[in-house]
Amino acid sequence: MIHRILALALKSGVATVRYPRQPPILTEEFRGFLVFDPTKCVGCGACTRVCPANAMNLEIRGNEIVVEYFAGRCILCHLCFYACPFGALVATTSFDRTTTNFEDLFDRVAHEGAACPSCGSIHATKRLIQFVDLVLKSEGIEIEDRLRLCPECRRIEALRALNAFRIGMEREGVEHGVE
Amino acid sequence: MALSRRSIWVFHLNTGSCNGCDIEILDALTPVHDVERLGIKLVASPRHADVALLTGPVTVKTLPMVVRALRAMPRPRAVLAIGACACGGGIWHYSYPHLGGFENLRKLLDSMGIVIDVVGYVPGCPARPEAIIDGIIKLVTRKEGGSR
Repeated sequence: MIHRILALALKSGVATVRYPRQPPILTEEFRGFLVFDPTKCVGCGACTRVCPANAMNLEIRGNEIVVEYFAGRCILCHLCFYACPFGALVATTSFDRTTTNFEDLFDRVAHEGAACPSCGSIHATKRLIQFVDLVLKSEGIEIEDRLRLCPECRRIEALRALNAFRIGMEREGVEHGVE
Repeated sequence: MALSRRSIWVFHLNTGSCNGCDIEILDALTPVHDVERLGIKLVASPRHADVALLTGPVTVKTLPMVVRALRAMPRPRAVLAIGACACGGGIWHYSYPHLGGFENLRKLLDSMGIVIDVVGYVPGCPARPEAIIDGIIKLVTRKEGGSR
């Protein structure tokens, strides 16, 4: 009996991967941790909207907008990699984020915030607004003053403009909804 | 290849994990990764353990048992938090029936006077067996104060 088992064992060989000395068994499709490139990030927050585990966070801290990648919560789905329009999140096959220091699990980038000219609140990063300007210029679209406002002020301004338009129509004697 | 002068005995502590990380711990123990060649051995009691392999987000139901198990471990205590749940709450971190990872459990243990000397974090959902081996190596070199 033992001879038969030994013969089988010799035929099949050693299954053990001597990991710290030998490279690990990884396929190319393996989804590893993401590498966060702070130079490419503009702080649009697309990654924070798709992240199912909330490992990507966008936080307003004082005058700065902080984009944070918390590897300790990441479930390696790579949705943020597909969502990022700037290629700031690079997908790797690396699984080694092991650490004894909790702070090492965080990747942070602090963006300079752009203040709303009307109310002064921070609502977007300066880099994102510069990027939007660049796109609008290349498309030949005029940049309105209302574009610089925060979403809250923009809503109020839009309603004011609509109201002024309506009053103007009434003065000219045009009925609502009828040409 | 010896990691340390003595073998590292590990205790597997499941705190409400989905069993993904537990299967990866088993993977590390089975012949493909065979951690016993490094002297890492799974033991049945926390009283014998050097390192607790903690998986799961520490649910409220398991909390009394987790505290008892960690209190039973001899000093210096070392805990390896394995997986996204144990590191930062994972996909559950907004829900109510758990502490949301080992960091919050550590604060609770500190208030109870149970000191955890070294903590290692192995993120990943689930963590790979290679990452668990890496984690134990980093933890032990840190625990013994050696450079590696």
